Amino acid sequence: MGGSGMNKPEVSDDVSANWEKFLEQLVLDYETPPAMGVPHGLQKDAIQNGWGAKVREKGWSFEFRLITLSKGAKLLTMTDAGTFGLTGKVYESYKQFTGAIPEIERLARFEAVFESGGESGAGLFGRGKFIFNAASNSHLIFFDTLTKDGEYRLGMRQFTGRSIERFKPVYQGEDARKKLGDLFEGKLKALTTAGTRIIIVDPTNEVLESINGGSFLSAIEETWWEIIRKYDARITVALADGSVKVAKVPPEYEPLPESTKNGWRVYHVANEPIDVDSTSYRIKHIHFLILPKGKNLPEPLRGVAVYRKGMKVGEIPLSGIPDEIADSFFGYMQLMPDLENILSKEENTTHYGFASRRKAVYRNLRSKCQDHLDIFLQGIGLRKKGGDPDEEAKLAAEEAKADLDDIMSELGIPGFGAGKRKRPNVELRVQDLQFPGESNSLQFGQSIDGFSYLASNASKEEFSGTIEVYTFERDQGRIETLLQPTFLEISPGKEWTSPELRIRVTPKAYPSGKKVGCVAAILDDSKTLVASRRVFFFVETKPERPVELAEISLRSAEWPRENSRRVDYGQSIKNLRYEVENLTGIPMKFRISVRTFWSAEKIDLDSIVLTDLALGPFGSEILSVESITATREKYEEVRQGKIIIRCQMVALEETEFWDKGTRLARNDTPFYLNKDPALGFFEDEEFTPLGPNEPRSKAELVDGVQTWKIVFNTTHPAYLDARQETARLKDYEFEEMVRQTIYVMIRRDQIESLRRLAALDIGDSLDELDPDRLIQEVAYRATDRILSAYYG
Amino acid sequence: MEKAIIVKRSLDGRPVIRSTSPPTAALEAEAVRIDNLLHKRIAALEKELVVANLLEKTIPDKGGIKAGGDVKLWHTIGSVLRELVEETGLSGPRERRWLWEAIENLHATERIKRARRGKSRIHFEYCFRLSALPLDFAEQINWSEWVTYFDSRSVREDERSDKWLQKMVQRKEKIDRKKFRSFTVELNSRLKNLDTSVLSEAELDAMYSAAWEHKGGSLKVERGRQRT
Repeated sequence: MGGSGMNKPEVSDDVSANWEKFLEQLVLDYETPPAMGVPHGLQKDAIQNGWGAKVREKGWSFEFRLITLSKGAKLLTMTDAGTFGLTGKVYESYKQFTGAIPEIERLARFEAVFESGGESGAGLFGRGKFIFNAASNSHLIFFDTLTKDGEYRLGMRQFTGRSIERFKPVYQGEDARKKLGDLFEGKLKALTTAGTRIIIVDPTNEVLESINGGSFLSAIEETWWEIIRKYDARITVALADGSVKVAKVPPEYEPLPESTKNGWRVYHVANEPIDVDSTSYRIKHIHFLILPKGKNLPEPLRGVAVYRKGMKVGEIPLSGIPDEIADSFFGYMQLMPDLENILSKEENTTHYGFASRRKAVYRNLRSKCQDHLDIFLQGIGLRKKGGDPDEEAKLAAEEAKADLDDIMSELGIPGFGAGKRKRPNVELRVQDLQFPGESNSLQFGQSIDGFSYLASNASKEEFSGTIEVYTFERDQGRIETLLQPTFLEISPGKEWTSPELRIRVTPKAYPSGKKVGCVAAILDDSKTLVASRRVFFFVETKPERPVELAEISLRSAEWPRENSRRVDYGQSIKNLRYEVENLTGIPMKFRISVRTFWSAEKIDLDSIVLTDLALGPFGSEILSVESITATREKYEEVRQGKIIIRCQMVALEETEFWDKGTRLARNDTPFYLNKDPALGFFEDEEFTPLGPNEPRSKAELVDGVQTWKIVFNTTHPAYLDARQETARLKDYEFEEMVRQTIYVMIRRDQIESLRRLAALDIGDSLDELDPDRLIQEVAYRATDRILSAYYG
Repeated sequence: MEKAIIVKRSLDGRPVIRSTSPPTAALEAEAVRIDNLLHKRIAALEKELVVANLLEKTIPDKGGIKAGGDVKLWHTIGSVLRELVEETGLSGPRERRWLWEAIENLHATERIKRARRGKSRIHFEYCFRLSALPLDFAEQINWSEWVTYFDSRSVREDERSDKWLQKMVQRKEKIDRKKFRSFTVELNSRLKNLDTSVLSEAELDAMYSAAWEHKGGSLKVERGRQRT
C-alpha cells in the first residue's frame, strides 16, 4: 500500500515547496504551546472539518476507528456522517482556480493546498487538513466520500520530499469502490450515508498511544463538549479490539449549574454587550464556575476559554485567580456569530489561542472577562472590595507583562530565553596534563609533555569537522601550532584521541612574565566552533588566581516533553550529563551535589547526588545523573511552580587559591512543575523598597540562569505617584518593563532583535557602537517603537 | 511519621494544608488537631507574657510601630515554640517553617509578629534557636545583635553553629556586646563564600573560634599577605 504501485497515475503536483519541511514545521506548530500536540490537534481539526460540513446539527456524527490489516498494518479512519460530503465537480488539476475556490466545490477545496473547507465550521486557513498527513508515518492518507447527491469518490494524498502525490483525478463510482476494496483487503466498505472518511495509513505511535491510552477521547471532550451538550452530537472512538467509547461532557463539568448551588459557586451573565471599534456586539454567555469543595479539575479543563462554532479556541489569560481555586475554577465565553467572525481573524493558525492580542476585539474581550471575574471573586469573598494596593500593583504588572509579550510577539521579537543556537553535542577534554611543578608556572627550559585531547560525540548523529591546537599570548597572538588542523569523523557515542602533544617553553618562542593559553578548537564543516578547551600556564612568573575556579554545564538531558521544560507529577528528567571542569592549573578535590529546590520559596525538595570527585589541572569529567523524578511525595508542597536543579561543587581541600568549603561553581537549571514555562520576557516581577533616590526599576537574572525578573522600586517618587491610579500604574509598569527589556537585550547583545526594533543597521556587535549612538539610535528608538505599539 | 498542618486560610475560610505526603483524611484530622493546639497555646502564651509585663496589653495595628522586645521576651516565646515543635513532631527545618507560617498567619497577634524579611529570615525560627541557650547567657547581648548573628547564611543553614555557642555556655564565657558584634562581622566575612557542610565539626569549631578570637582584619587579607 502506498503512493506507488497503484494502477492509476499518481502525479506530483507542480509545486516548488519542500513539503517534508512544511510538515515538520506543522508538527512543530502543533507541539508548541498553546497548541497541545499532534493527537490533540488531529481530533480538533478532523471534527472541525466534519462539523463545518454538517447539513444540520441533528443527525450529524463523527467516528474515529482504529483498524488492523493483515501483517499488522494499521489504519485510523475518521468518518463524518450527516454532512454534505466532498461535493462539486471532479477536476484533474486545480490550476484553473486562480482565486478562492467556491464553497460548493468541497472536493476541490479539500484537495487544493491551503483552501479551507468553508465558513460554516471553525476552519479558516486550510492548513489543518495537512495534520492528517503529519499523523501518518508515511505521510499518506486516503479519503472517500459519498456526497449528498449520491456520488462516491476515492482520493489520496501523500507528501514525499518536494512533491505531493494524489490520484489525478479521484476514483469515482464503481472504480472507487473496487479500488477501496483492493487497497484495504476488503476491510473497509464504501460509505453508504453521505459523509467523508479520512483514512490515515500507518498512524504515528504518538497518535496510537493517545487513542489507546484514552487521552484522545479526553481531548475531544475538552474541545467539543459544548456541541455534545447542546446538540447531543455523537462522537465516538472505536479501538482495534472493537470496543467503542462515546465522547461526553467532561464529568467534572457536570451538571454545569447556572447559579450557585450544591457546593458549586457560579457566575453567569448572558447577552453581555461589548463594543469593538465603535460597533456593538454581544457575548452570548460568560459563565464562571468553581467546583464543590474537595473536587479538582484536570489541567486542560481549568481556566476560562473562548468557544467558536462549538470548538474551544483559546484560553483567555486572567489575573488574580487565587491559588485556592486555581485547581477548581473554569469558565467559558460563547459569542454571537458576528463577534465570532471578527475574533476568528485574530486566531493563530493552529486554532489554539490568538496570534494578535493587541487588537481591539481580543483586548476588549479579555478586559470584559476580567471585569466579570473581579465581580465574581468579590461576590464570593475571594477578592477584597476596594482592592489591596499591593495586590493591585501585582495585577497591573501581570497585565503589563502580558501586553509586552503580545506586542513583542507581533513585532517578531523572540523572548530572552529563545533563539539558542543548537550545536552538535561534541565534548572535548584534555587528558594527562601535568605541569612540571606544583602549579602551572613554568620556567624557561621546562616543558609540558604527553598530554592529549579527547573528543567524544555525545549526539545521535555522525560528526565531522576539524580540530586544531595552538598556543597564544594576549599581546603576541598565536605562538605555535601544536596540532595542525586535522579532519575528524566521530560516530555517535564514539571518541577520538589526539596524538600526544608537547609544549617546550623556550625564551625564543615564549614571552617572559606572561600568561600563555593553549587552545584546542573543534570546528564543524561549516567552520562553526562546536567545542573548545583552554589551558593556561605562566612563563617565568607566579600564577594568578583565576576569576572562575571551575565550571559546570549541563550538556544534555532528556525532558519528558520535547521543546519544553515542563515536568508533571510522576514524570522524570532522564540521563542528565553535567560537564564539570577545573579552570585552574592545580588539582581540585571537591564534593559535588545535585539537588532541587523550590525557586519561589528557596526550599530544598530533593537531594539527588552527593559524591566526592577530583580533577587534574584544567581537567574535566562528565557527571551522569540517571533521573530526577517529580514525585508527588517530595514535591507535594509546590503543586505548581518553578523548580531549580542545582548542581554545585564545593572544595574539599584548602589550596593556594581557595579554602575548604569554597563554592567552586554551580549550575542552575530550572524546570516547571505542572505548568508551562513563561514564553515571554520577564519571568517574574518583584516589588521592593529600594529607596527614593535609587532607580525606578532594575532587571535581574533569576537564579543565575537565562531568565530575568523585573524589580520595581516601591519607594521611588514616580512609582508612588503612579500607584494612585490603577490604569496609570499599569502604564508606568509597562514603560519600566520596556526600558529594562531593552537593557537586557543590549546586555545580551541581542543584535537581531534590536536591529528589528530600531529599524536600522547597527553592525554586528554593539561593542562597536559609541555610547551616543547606542542610546539615541538604538535604545531610545527601540523603546519608542514598543511604546508606540502599546499606546497606538 | 507523616505530618500535616494548616498554614493559612483562604479569604473564604478554607484551610490550606501543608503535609509531608499527599493529604489523607487522617492527615487532615491531624492538621486540625495541631491547629487547635496552636490556637490554644499561642493565645495562652500571649496572655502570660502580658501578665509578666513582657508584652503590651493593646494589640498594635498591622504595619504599625511595635516595641522591639527584649531577649527575655523572645527567649520565652522561643521556649514555648520549642515545646510545640516537640509536641507536634514538626521538627525538621521544613516542617518548622510550616509551623512558623501557621503561627504567623493564624494564631499570633501583631504583638509577637515581626516584619517579614524574606523566605529564610524567619523571626520565630530565631526565637526557637535562641531558646536553646540559657536565658542568662542569651541576655548578655541585645536581640538586634542576635538577629544579625542569625541572619548569617551559614549560621542559618548549618545548625552545628549552635553547638559552638553551647561550648561558650559550658565555658561560662562572658560575652561582650562589642566583641560579639565584631565576631559576627568577622564570621560573615570568613563564611561568605563557604559551604560549611563539608567541614568537620572540629574545623567548623576552629573557624568560629578564630572569628571569635580575631582582632581586626580578615582571613582573606591574612592569606593575601602570606602570598606576597
